[in-house]
Amino acid sequence: MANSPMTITSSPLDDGQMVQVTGDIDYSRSSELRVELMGLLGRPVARLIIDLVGVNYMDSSGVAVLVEALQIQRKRNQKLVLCNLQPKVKGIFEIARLNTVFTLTDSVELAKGA
Amino acid sequence: MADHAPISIRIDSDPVHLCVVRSAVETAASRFGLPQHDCDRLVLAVDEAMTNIIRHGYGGRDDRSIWVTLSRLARNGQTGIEVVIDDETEQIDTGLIKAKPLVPANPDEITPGGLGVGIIEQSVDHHAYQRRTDATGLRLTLQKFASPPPTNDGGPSKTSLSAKA
Repeated sequence: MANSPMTITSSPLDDGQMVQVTGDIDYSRSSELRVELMGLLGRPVARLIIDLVGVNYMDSSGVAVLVEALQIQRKRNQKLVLCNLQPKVKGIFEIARLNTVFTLTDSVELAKGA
Repeated sequence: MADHAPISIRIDSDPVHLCVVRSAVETAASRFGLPQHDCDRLVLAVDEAMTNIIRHGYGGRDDRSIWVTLSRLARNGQTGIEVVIDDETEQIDTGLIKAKPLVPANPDEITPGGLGVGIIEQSVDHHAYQRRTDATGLRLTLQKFASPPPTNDGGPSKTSLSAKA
């Protein structure tokens, strides 16, 4: 379970931005994710899709970053969709009961229509 | 190594070492017979506990010590693992360590952060905070037992529910 390198890439959508994240997200990494997301949300983004297909592990510090991004989007009446959550990542959302708060989809295509 | 011999680890309070402890805990829990789902929950609880020590106990300092001891448990035919996490933080009233409600009624009131204690409570069968008697600091003891195989409907058996501390 060595920490695999974290990468964050973003690409434009017709109505927003998609961010793809790879690597484990723990307390040593979550600030990097926060910087990237807050930078992206420095301007309005109608739909922000975060693809977590390459994230095998996330702790509550990573979840907190996503909660912060969700709050920003909610206040602007804009969308945040998380997709392709791997089992361990889905697990922490279930434990924290955030799976009912976030919009979660099983694919990028579904996220584009959510 | 005897399979029941405790495994002890000391690490500096540097977040980059969290992955090392996660790996050790997962390996030990698997060796002690916990299924993957239980290993995952225990690993998460230990990671959250150590993050809390680094962030709140040590104020982000990366040069302090954290000790983790892993021991095999057996209870009423169930196999399990005990994880003891010791630190050198200031003595605090352990009664002040409380989980915040995981999700408020209004989703707009969700605040980032502060989920760690609640996640720990939800992820293990037993947890206890104590002041260390051998030194200044706090001791967190976590116990996790192997869940029985799921019943035919895919849900947990009644045994696993009654075993929950």
